[in-house]
Amino acid sequence: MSPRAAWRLETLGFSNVYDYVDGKNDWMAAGLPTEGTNNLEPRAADLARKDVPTCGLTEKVGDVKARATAAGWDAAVVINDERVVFGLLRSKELNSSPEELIEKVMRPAPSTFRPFVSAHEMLHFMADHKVENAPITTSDGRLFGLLLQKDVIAAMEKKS
Amino acid sequence: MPQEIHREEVRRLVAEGAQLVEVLPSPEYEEDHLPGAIHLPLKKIDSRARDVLDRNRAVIVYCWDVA
Amino acid sequence: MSQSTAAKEKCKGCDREIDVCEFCEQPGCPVAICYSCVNRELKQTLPQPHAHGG
Repeated sequence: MSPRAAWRLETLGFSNVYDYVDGKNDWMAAGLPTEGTNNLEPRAADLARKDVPTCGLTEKVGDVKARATAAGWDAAVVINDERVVFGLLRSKELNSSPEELIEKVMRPAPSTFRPFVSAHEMLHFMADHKVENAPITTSDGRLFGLLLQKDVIAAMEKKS
Repeated sequence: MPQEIHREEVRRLVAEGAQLVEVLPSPEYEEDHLPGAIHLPLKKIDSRARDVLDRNRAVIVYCWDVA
Repeated sequence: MSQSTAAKEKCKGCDREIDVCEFCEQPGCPVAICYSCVNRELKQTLPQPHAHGG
């Protein structure tokens, strides 16, 4: 739609017309704020924990588990220097042999979800699929945070 | 010819006073739109653009994505 | 077991065969869902078909 709108505006006498080709989806997928009725309900971005422990591929499980546990977590996200997500460690993976490398035990290429998705919808999925947490990433694959099922439940209960 | 721009240029141009316009229909606009975006559905551009927009200012149009 | 003979899941949304649930990645997920359906249900994409004008 936007290319047709842009060209039509030019024929209507508008000389300085730009087309944001990637559109609203790109904006929202980057975790940027919007206005509108969807903001009345919490999104993944509002509840995702940005302080989730992270680690690299070549670290050892024992070191990562110690760091995560000390911070009160039983999960960690595997990222590179650009915060691009490579894997996920839930409690099962963190309880692997401490000498193992993260790359060997992690859940590779986990399903990730955009900051703008409805927290309520995510809760339905997480409950149905018995998943405690889900990585939230922007459209460039970078970690936004980890959405915890218990946080969404708490937010829903607080609201009701 | 309209210039294609990306997200950072949108932010810069809006800060410089460009008019931001969503051309999707309702309810897509009501549900979510970029902060400060004016609603001018594509189907209404012919009849309303000159009334709603300032021809002396830059205009940025957007819809959902490239699809 | 080779990938070609591994048991396939069926997407609960569209009934297509999928290798694994794209939400939880757990084999044998009773509510397995494909990539397209999960994106649509979470509104990460617009439903198809949709009017976009081109």
